[in-house]
Amino acid sequence: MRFRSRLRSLFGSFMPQQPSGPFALPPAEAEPLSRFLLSKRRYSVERMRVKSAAFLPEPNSLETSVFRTLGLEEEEIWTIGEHHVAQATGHTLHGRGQVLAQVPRRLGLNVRPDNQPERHAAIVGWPAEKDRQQMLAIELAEEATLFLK
Amino acid sequence: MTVIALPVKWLGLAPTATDRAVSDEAQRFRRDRWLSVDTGFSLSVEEPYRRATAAVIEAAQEANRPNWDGQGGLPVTQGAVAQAFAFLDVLPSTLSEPEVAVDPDGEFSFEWSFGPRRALTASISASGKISFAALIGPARLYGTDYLLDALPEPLTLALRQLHASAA
Repeated sequence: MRFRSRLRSLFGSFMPQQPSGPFALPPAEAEPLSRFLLSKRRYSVERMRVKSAAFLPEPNSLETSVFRTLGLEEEEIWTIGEHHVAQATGHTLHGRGQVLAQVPRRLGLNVRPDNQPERHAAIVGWPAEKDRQQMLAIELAEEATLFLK
Repeated sequence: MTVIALPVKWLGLAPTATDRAVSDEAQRFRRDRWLSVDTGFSLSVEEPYRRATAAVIEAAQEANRPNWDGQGGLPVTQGAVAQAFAFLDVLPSTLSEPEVAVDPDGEFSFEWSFGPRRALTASISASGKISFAALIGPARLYGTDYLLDALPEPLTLALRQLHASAA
């Protein structure tokens, strides 16, 4: 027992961490998810809409990074975007596209919580084919609400 | 990987999928045509093309390094820029101006939106592969084709349908 405990303390940091905390469980259907926008070309001010490119998955992981914003005030949401997304990558935060968790699920995608950092999740289950990704992304963009900073 | 920000004028001199000539005359013609972007267009017909061309250049400059979007985006390549210009070249002048963006995989995307559930996005890769998806009311349309000397037929039809519905 003591041996196992020592092993865990020695190698724990190298092992994948299980998500924990209140946002470790999958989001409820009506839970809002925010995709932070760091490029002006990922949304249209004239049409007040998010472009589909904003929701396309990151090419290597095939995941779209989002934050769960349930119960947060507007300012708190922007603080998360600034702190965990914009400043962390040296970019300017322009806005966010918000969809409810039920939207990606309805399209056959899934929302996987990892809570690292807190409230972080990923839209997963993307197909490998670009045209099918675009079809799903354009549907997500259609249902998304644009918030500008 | 080494990434170099290309001078704006240089970007336009790359041969494209629809412009494969390599002779000295062709190079001269290509350069003259590119330089004429600043001065020679008819305002009514060519203005959307000119704005879209400028948007491609701006987007290329923004997306010229790895993780340019802070979300793991791949940088655009010279080939992708050339194909983006080739795509604009074959767009009918009657179409409205597309919104230009760069996808996370480094492909240029051109998007048209005509209101609720009336939108089309088309992305072009450095090899000239066009992937597109459209919402036309309840209908969903997507596919892949290659940019040769004209816009692929399914894409043309979808764009016409969307424009007709917006008129």
